[in-house]
Amino acid sequence: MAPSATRGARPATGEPSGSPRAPTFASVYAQHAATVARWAARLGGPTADAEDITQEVFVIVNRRLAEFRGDARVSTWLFGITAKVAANERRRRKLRQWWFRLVPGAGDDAPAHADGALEQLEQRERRVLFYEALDRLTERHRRALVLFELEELSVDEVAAHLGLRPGTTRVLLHRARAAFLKSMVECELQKELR
Amino acid sequence: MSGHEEDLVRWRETSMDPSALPARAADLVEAAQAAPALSAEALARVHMNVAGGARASRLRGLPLGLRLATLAALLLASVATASGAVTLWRRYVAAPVVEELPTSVHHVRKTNAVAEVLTPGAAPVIEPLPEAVPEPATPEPRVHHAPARHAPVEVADPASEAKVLSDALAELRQAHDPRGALALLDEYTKAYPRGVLASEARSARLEAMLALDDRRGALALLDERTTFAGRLGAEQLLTRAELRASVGRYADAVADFDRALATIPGSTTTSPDAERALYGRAVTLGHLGRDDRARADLEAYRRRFPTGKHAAEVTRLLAGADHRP
Repeated sequence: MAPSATRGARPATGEPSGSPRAPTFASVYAQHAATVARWAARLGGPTADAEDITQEVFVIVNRRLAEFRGDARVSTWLFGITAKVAANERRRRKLRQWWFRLVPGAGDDAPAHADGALEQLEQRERRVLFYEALDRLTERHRRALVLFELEELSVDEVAAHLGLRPGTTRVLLHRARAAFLKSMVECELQKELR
Repeated sequence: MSGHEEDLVRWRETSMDPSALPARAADLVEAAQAAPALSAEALARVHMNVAGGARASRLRGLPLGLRLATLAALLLASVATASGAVTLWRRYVAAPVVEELPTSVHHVRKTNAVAEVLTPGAAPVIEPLPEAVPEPATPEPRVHHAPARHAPVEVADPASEAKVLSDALAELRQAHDPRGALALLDEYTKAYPRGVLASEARSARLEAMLALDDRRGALALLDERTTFAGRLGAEQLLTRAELRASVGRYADAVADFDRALATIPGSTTTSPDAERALYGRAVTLGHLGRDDRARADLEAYRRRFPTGKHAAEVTRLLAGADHRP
């Protein structure tokens, strides 16, 4: 379920920096770090290093916070950065995907425990299948789907995060969901053939 | 949820036959939502790193426009350098030869070298000697260039060549469409088989193949002796090492990791390439059963990269080695 941080609350002003109402890095981090980390994990998928992505996002935030003029919500600004960083990370990771298959344990973010190991394994397989299907979508469809289905934001909130109008977002979501169902079926078939 | 969203019901909120597509999608969404979140310790570590001045990699984090401008500048610099080199090569290595015709005497005037460089492609100036009598029926002297030892690169239209290549790179890196990029690279190769940016095009082709998980194709490209003129950079060398390991060519892979490590100055360096090479060699040596060397590499890794990307895995491997009979 989406936390309140994604619902558009303006960050509290911390120590002064530049303009009197400008958010400080400390306040942005305190209010949004957990949300950004969750976006990083959900946009990046099971093979992405959410900690790395989160760190890179906040390196950028730290550098560009002074440029943030408050035209958009902080969460919208942060989502845009996170989505771009996660996309780059996925691209870099994809270039070396064979390596992560070769090395046992590399990129394995959820080791199975003895208790409920089978259930965990099945859940992990479903998660992998979800991202296999998601990886076949365009970047726009991916972002829209993650915000709507995983983050469970309303259409208006998804629109605000993507910087689109609600009507456009609705069309985008219809297409993204149709594309996802199609690629899910393809992935299921491929899995059966393997 | 407002009224106009009623046609957009989240899959998890639909109640229907579990075998129906939305219900299956809901199952996957639920599994994806259950992914573990970053721990408070990890978030504190990120905060500490960022506050401590951690930096993104060189170009990472720069605005897209600036990165594209940097790329364009590099491409233009490459074109300019190659064009200059080819011009000099044509002037001084593959100098034009004039076939002397029996009916008239000609000589090639040596022109100012600087002027020639400034006007690439200008034909050599041929003028009759003062005593020669021009004959209307005499055919034009045939001027040809000496056969090249190596085929020269093409510099006919460097701007459009760079455009095709930058389109391919945009397809690959911004549209995330490696197949589209490969199609454009095929067009590039067809149009400019010996283009001045051929090396950059091959690097892009390699990247596209890797994005498509075409390991064998990528490895074939890297294995070709002529592809990168026999000189692989550290990144390409490491990629080839990992590809060779992935297809079971462990000994070849170790040789590449050795070469990569040898090119990295200083035995205590903590560069990302050194980290990747050391870890890769350790794993590959493990596949070869050379446990002593593998263990030495793992220990060196743990010493040099205690908080590295593979630190947890290295600790696990070393612990496994300790418990081995």
